[in-house]
Amino acid sequence: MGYLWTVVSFLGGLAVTAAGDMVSEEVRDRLDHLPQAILRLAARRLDLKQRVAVYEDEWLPELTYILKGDEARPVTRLYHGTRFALGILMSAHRTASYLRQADSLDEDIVTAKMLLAAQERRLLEVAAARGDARLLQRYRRDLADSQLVLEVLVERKRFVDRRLS
Amino acid sequence: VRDLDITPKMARVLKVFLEDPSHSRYGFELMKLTGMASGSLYPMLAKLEGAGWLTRGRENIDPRVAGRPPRMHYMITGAAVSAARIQLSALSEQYRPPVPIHLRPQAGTS
Repeated sequence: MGYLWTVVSFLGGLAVTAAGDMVSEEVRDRLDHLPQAILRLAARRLDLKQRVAVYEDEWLPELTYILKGDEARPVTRLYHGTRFALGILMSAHRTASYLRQADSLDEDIVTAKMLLAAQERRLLEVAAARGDARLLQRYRRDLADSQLVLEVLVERKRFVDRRLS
Repeated sequence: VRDLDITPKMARVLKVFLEDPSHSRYGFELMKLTGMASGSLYPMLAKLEGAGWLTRGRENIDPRVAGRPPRMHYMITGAAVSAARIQLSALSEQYRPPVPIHLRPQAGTS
């Protein structure tokens, strides 16, 4: 009877050890994918265009470097990788919103500058030709309006920049 | 380069670039050098790049050999070097503690 118990205990011990190894391997494998899963979640907060420029080109290669780098030990890489991905996740909305607003404002500022240049040219032409005084006055008013619009856009861009920092 | 309001956090990043303006830096490297989290650093890099203070380039590696995709690195632009030096000096002046005024006892009162 004693012999049987010894065999059962031995086999039981082996089974528990094997199960423990399998569980730890499974956990290690899943934990290795945790930072990437968090980063994928962050990428969902970006527009499609931003995903290529920011997620594919910037965040993912950096995370891959952290996870595969020379100093990557299992616990270190999990710590650095998760910390990196969580930080990105927390700021993804802010980054997306900034890039969206900055892109759109940059386009508006370029358009406003082009309009201003065209209006200045028109005003100079009419002034050089000693054109109608009322027309000249209207063109001056248009120019002042455009200058104001440009100033508002530049100030708005500053505000967006400040909010990000 | 466009004018930027330099914050203390941004100053930490710019200081790293000014130590050697010809040296490009990676995001993770900047995180370690400045002690900043990715959530603060990456939006700031986007902002500095958008304002023309930094340029972004791709790491020159063969992804098949390295076993990973190329990373992005950043370098400060020539125009931004002088602008950053001026702004950092102004910020340092702004945060400089005032010189303490030591009061001397009036003559003949002790």
